[in-house]
Parts: sequence; C-alpha cells; structure tokens
Amino acid sequence: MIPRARRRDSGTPPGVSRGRTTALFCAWIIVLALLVLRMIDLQVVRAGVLQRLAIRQQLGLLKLPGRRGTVVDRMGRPLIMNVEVDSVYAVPRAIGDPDAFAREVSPVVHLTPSEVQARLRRGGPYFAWLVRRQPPSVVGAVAGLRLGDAIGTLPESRRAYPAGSLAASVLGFAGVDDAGLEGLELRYDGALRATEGVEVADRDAVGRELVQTQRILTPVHDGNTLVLTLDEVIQHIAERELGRAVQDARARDGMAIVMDPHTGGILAVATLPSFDSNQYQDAPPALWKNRAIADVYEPGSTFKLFLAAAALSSGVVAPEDRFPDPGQIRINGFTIHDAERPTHTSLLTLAEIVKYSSNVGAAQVATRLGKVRFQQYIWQFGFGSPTGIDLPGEAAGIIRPVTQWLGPSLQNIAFGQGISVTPLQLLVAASALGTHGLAVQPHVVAVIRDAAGHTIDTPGNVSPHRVIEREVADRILGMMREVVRDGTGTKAQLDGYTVAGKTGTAQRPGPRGGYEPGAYVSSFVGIVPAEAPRLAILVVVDRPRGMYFGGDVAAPVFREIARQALWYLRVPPQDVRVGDAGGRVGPGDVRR
Amino acid sequence: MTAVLTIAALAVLPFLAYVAAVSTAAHIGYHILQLTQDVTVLETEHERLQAIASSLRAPDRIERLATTRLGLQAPRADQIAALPIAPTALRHGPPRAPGFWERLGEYFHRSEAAAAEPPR
Repeated sequence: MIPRARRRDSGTPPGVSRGRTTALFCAWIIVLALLVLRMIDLQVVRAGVLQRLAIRQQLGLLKLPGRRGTVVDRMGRPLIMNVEVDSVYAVPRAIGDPDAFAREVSPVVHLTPSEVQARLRRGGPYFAWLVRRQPPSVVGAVAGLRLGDAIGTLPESRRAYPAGSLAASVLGFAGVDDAGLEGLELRYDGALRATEGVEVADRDAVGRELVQTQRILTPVHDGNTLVLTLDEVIQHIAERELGRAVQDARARDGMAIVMDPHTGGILAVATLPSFDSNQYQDAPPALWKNRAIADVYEPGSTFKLFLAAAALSSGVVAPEDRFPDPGQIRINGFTIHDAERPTHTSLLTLAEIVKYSSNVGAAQVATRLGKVRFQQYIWQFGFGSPTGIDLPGEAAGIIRPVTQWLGPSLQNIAFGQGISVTPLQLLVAASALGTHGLAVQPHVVAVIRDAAGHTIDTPGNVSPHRVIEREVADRILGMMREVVRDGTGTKAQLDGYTVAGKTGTAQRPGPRGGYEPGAYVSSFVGIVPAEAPRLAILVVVDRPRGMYFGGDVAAPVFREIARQALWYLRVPPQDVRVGDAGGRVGPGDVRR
Repeated sequence: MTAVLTIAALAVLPFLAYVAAVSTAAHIGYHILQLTQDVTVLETEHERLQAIASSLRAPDRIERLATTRLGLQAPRADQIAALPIAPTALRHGPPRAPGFWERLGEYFHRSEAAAAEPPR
C-alpha cells in the first residue's frame, strides 16, 4: 500500500486521476502538432502564394510620372506649359443600373447616355475613363451627383497654351495622352516627352508609403525645354497686322513670316485663319497644318528676283543690256501681258524689269537664259526641295522637269507662274540676296535644354551656304531697293530705314487647270534695313477683293510689321548716329 | 540578484534603442511623405499660377485692355524718337576684377548651390 500512495504523491495532484492528466497531455500534443502542421502549411506548402500576396499588400510599385517639357519663346516667355486638371472615371462593378447611371451622368459630362455606356463597356470591371482633363465646373458637377464609389476623379497633367491662338500653327498641340499631334509638339515629341520613373516601397496598414523603405528602380526624367527663336511680341505684331490686312481686303486667308536673315531663326509665323491650341478639337483639321510651310503657291513677280540673279550669274545678260517692253509679247503662240504696270515706252534694263515688274521683259530674259540653266539656278536657290525647317509637314514645292516646260512655260516661270513654292522657300531664297548670297537654315528651335537647364542641342546651328555669287546678290539687292524707292513697292517704304523688296501678284490656279478668273495671290518679300539686314519678311494675302496688287495689299503689311518689329528690337533708324548726342531724332524727322 | 538584473537590462537596452530608432525613422518617413505631397501640391499650384500669369501677360490681351479699358492708342511714327547714345555712355573701362568679399560671397554661393537638392 505504501508504495502506491507514494506514487500518487509524486505524479498527480490529489483528486486528479492519472488518466485525465494523460488525456490532457495528449490533447496538448495534438494541438501543438496541428499548430506545427499549420505552420508547415503556411511556411512551406503555401509559402510561394502567400509571399506573393504579402508582397502585393505590403510592397507598393509606384509609377513616378514625369512632366512633359515646356516651350518658351526666345525671351523665356512660356508658350506651352503643363497644368494639373481632373479626369472623371467610373467603377462599372459599383454601378447597379448602368442605364440609370448613364442617364444621370451624361448631361454633367457632356456626353450622350449611349456614349457613357460605351465608355463603361470599354473599361475594365473596376475602372473606366468617362471624360479626361475637365474644367473645374464639370468636376464640381460630378462631385455634386453623390454617386459614391461608382464615379470619381483623378488628377492628370494637361498641356496649356497660355497665349491661345498665338503661333498655333507653329506650336501645334498634344493629345490627351501627352503625345504630340501637330507642330512643334509633334516634331519634338521625343525631346519633350518625360520618362516615367518606377519605385518600390513598403506600405503601412493604411496603404501609406514608408519612405525609409523607398527604392527607385527607374529614375523619373522630366521632358526637355525648348527655347524657340520665335518672339511672342513680334508674333503678335505679325498676326495683328496680317489680320487687319486680310479683313480690309476681305481676303480668304493670309500668311506672314518674319526671319532673321543671318541666322535663319524664325521670329514669327502668322497664318490666318488660325485656331486655339487649347481647343484644337473645335477647329477644322484643315487649319491645323502650318500653311507657311505645307502649302505651295505660285509666287508671281517675286520670282523675278531669282531670274535676274540667274541671268547675271550666268552672264547671259549684262546689267546694261536693254529689252523692249511694248506691254505684251507673243511667245509660242501665247500672249504674255504686263500685270502690274502700263506699257513702257523706253527700253528696260534688267534692274528696271525688276523695278517695274515687267512680265514682258522677264520673258525675254528667260528666253535668253534657257530652260536648263534657269532650272539649275532655281534648284540652287533651294526651290523644289524642303528647306529642312524643324517643323513637320514641309512641302518641297513643284518644279516640273524641263521636258514638261511646254509652250510659254519658261517665260511664265520667269515671272513666277507655272511653278509652285512654299512661302518659307521664297523667304529663305530672298533673304540670301540680303546676306551677300548666303542662304541660311530656317529653324524654330534655338536651344533644347534638359530639366536641369543644361543645353543638350542647338538644332538651328547650321552654317549658311552660298547660293549665288556675292556681287550678283548685292546687285539684286540694289534692284530690290529701287523697287521700294521708286517701283511697284513704294508702299513698303519705312521712314528712317532703307527697305529692299519685291512685289508679287499671281493669278490663282483653278481647280480644273488654267487660272481662276479674278482670283489673285498678292505678296511682298522684303529685307530691312537693306544695309545691315535684321529682318526678312514675307507677306502673302490670298484672294484679296478690290485691290489685288502685291504693292497695294501686301507691301503695307510688310511696312507695319517691319516698323513695329524694328522698334521693338531697338534697331535705330539710320539717321541716328552713335555718339551724336546733339539731338533727338524720330522716324518722322529723318529723311525718306 | 542585482548583477543578473543589470545584465538583463544591458541585454535589453540595444533592442529598446533599435525599436526607438525604427519608430523615429517611421515618424520622419511620414513627415517626409507629407512634405513631398505638400511640394507636389505647391508645384501644381505654381504651374497653374504660371499659366494664369502667362495668359494675363499675353500681348493680345494687354493691347485689348489698353485700347478698350484705358483708352490708349498705339503711338504714331512721329511720336517715337530714337535717342542717340551719348559718347560718355560708351566709355566703359575694362571690367573690374572682383574683390575679396565678392570672391568669398561667390564661394559660399557656389557651396550653397552645390548642396542644394538636385533637380528631378
């Protein structure tokens, strides 16, 4: 008996049977075993799945959006920038009745109910864009619907063009996904586009990023900044003066280009009618293109400058040679008339042919020059091939092969009919006459800078190339001065400055061949000041009504643009001498 | 007994310090996150204001306001004068070499610029 009682004392407490203790121990062992099994299940069997789940919950892969590059004019004034606006999305899974939702939302987001439903179907079950980049009024109205989780807004970056329609055809525009669609936005899309960054960071229980765990996988790069050669003020002057002329002449449209003849930097490109880049969708696509480089036109008498240069350069005509101008001449069975001036009684020199814009004289010079030689000079001046300006959609012009120069084609081309050029080609070629025969590379972007402000490219830094001998260019420039002093371009005269220029009045080609009766293109190309050119300007007015001569319609526009732009650029009148502090001289006081 | 407690305290102390450091880092992280969000908001606001300022400075608008609201007119040709530059204005000597204090100022300015946050 004694040993039995001793065993109970050492093993189990009094009143507890050994069997119950064993059962409890076994239960504990079983629970422990279950826990171990569960641990093995979690840590070994389902480890991969759970690890992925944990990473998804705790580790955030964040996209770091960069900003698209901005565009500024040559003085640093912003022309294109970014602003943050809200876009409206829907969560289709949270929408009970899509029909009712569409009916309720459609008037607020300015869509039809069927459009709303189509957009809901286009998105996934948890996200569908309804309208993007909306004004605050729409966003406020959406919030006012109180539709809970079914609809929401997200901030997005949008391109803003603070000057509205100013230089719209040059700047172009970018679409909703920040992709350039027209103009500089398209041409320099690669330089402007930002590179999205990627970072990984842990998240806390409420989804906040834990900065101390942040790791950048791909750094974000903002887009580059474009510094243009364009000047906002000169652009405004050009658009305003061209607009007045187009309105006064009741013309269909017009173009004006202002360029630095020494560098090829484009200071202004005005094309009318224009559009607002902020609302480009509202404008017809025909207005989106830059007609100063994409459209071709028959240059008319402005082309006589290049005929004269070719004639002098080739030596077929001497400066003192004279040509009769009876007002009309028959060539290959066709009659050629003078357009701008009445019959001349005396014989005309080459300079006078240019000065009085004699078609008859030009036809005789062209006959002496010959087709092949004339075409070579035309090519030499850059006609027939794009200038290479850094804008999309540039046309090459239309120069037919000499085998197709039938009938009076040679003589017609001599005064700019039967040949098509872009306004920019004509301006570049004419500006070479003001810079001793050196043609420049026209360009709109002066500098590309990265986000830190470092210069990474200068697209327009191309050396000028010679298109005609220096002596010939200087002689033609002298003829252009005579055109303005006492010829067809007197309305381009500018007090205090010497202007060199040439008028052009061309018939408009008809849609079915031949020329449209009563439809003209009036133009004027000029360089100012002629002694030390600062500006080369071309003005083209399409289909003016009433007066249609280039000297009457386009030359005054040239004068106004040149006058204001020269003052803005602080180019003093020629009669103001440096160091002469004795007087105060205004443009009204100086000699003509 | 005291020795055991001391050893235990010393053993626990690094863990406490570690927990405190992690907690402080987390706190500073949240603060940085808040500041980053503030910077983003301010940058957005700055861009918006820049856009507004640019549109307000547009030459077309200024001219319209000048002529309609203020009754101004563009000057006529005879109302503008070019002032000849006086010979004295042209007589500039060679550029003066920077002095000691200017060089010192430039040095600190460069140091500050170098220490500034790099651009994004």
